Amino acid sequence: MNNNDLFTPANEFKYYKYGTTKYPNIIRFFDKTPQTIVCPHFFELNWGYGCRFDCAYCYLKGTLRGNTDPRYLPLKHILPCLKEAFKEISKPSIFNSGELTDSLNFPKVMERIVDEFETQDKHKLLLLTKSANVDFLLKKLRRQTIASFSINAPKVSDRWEKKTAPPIYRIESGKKLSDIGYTVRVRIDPIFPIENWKEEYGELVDLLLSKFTPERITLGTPRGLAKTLMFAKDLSWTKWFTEKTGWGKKLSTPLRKEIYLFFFDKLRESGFKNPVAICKETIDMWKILGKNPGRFPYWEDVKCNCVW
Amino acid sequence: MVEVKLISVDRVRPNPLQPRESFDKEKIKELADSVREAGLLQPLVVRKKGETYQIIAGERRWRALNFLKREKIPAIVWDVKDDTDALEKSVVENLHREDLTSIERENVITHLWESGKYKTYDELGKKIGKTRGTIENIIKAKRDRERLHASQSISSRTILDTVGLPDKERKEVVKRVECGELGTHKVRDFVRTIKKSPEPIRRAIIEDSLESEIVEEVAKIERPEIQRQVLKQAKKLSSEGVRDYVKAIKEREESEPILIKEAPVGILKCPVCNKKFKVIHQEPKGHKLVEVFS
Repeated sequence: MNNNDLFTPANEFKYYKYGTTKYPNIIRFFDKTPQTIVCPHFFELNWGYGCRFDCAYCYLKGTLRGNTDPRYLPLKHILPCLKEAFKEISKPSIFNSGELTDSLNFPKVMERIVDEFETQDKHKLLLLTKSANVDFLLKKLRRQTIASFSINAPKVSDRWEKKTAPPIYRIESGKKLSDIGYTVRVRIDPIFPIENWKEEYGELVDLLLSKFTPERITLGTPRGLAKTLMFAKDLSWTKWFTEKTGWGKKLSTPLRKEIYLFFFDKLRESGFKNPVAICKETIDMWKILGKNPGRFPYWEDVKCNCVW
Repeated sequence: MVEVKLISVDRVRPNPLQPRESFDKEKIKELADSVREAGLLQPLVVRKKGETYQIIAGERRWRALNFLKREKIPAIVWDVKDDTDALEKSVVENLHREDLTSIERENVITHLWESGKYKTYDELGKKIGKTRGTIENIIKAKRDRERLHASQSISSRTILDTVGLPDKERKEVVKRVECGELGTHKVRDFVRTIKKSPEPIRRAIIEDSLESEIVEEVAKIERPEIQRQVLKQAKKLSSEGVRDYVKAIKEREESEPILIKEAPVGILKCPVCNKKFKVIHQEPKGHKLVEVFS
């Protein structure tokens, strides 16, 4: 028997999978990253596939093999799976609804999912979005929902995130949610070393922190997964790649280090005291930065976007 | 050197290396009747071996004349170097006739090959008028027949059609042909279906002896979840029943989604290290416990 089949606390979650005969992977555990990449695994809530934002660097192009037209699952398939998962998964977990689509692409369905999470108080729903469409969330506070806004420097957004809401709108939406009591996280990902990147991103951080204080901030640099590169049409964002890692091509180690240190300093100087994490980075980079992420597969010391 | 002689029937001996292993008594009797009416139209081919003559071609004719209790028999006496040469000539005479069984053909060609006289299949093939591929296939069929314990009723073609499957599955296919559940003309399609099938279907073929028609029908189902569901019921269904069942599942899931889940259940003790592990099951009902060895 394969060791992977052994049920140990380390791989307990990977054995939970919920779906229907028509859509078998509605809730499943994300554990694709290798040991060399720090990524505390989480549950995916696959309530839709594809995204209308069509960002140039998005991994969905590869994951969905070029077919990123959004399509959403009927609620009658999603809700029973959620009910079953709530009943069976004893350890409080976070369900990431923005892994294969943008969480706020289809508010009509998402509103029902958000409300379903309110029927219990153990698990939380993570809304990961580049949208600013939060009207349905503003109707009332849902304590089991965490909003996570992915933002970027306006120049990057204009260049490679053409169909998304402008970063300032996303920050505004985050502020509105934060004001009424939602837990709001922010990820600045992918950070591109564009011309004058320190100024561009410095202004973004200033703008963000002038509006509200996120519960945590996760940083990330571009990741060129082989499949993404195969299906991406605009490859202008790949010109900075110099290194191959366990999770696709990346910027050079010194450049990534410079970027992260810049953000750590900038956030500290701005008085930001909540956790700051880096996304899908190599264990070597964590060590270079003088941080200890813990051990695979727990990564118990990492407080990043998709986990508690 | 070749000479034609009238030789005494009792000095003629059958060839122990004769390709044909079975002689139908009725057919011999029919041949004897025809010889009685019209005489022997074609002489035997023999070789001199000591004081006797060994048949190279024409054992049926010799048996018919024996049946008629004739004393003399016309024969062409060939000058043959050794046993292999005799067999070779005998093979050429018999091999191209359709009434030689698969097993007879396999035996004689393998015997010739194992005589060591030929370096390549090509060389042997040229000698007896067969292609290199045919020789290779026949020898492979002979080896596989022994390994698969296939009976004489199984043709070389059937054995070769199962190539590419593990032995366990090949045996199962051969068994089905032997008992008549699977027609020889369907073997190739069935094997192709098995090769394309996922593990649960392949398991059901061996463990549950799922009927070949049902297997074909279940393999047509595109979605593995439905396939798994149907497999559970497949033993109770006909092939038409499988189609209806799939239709019913699809109709039902449109109106009422059928939940499938995987979650850890049960605890099993490792017999080696005595550690306890929780064990997973893949199905919503009926826990399937996995043995744990660390």
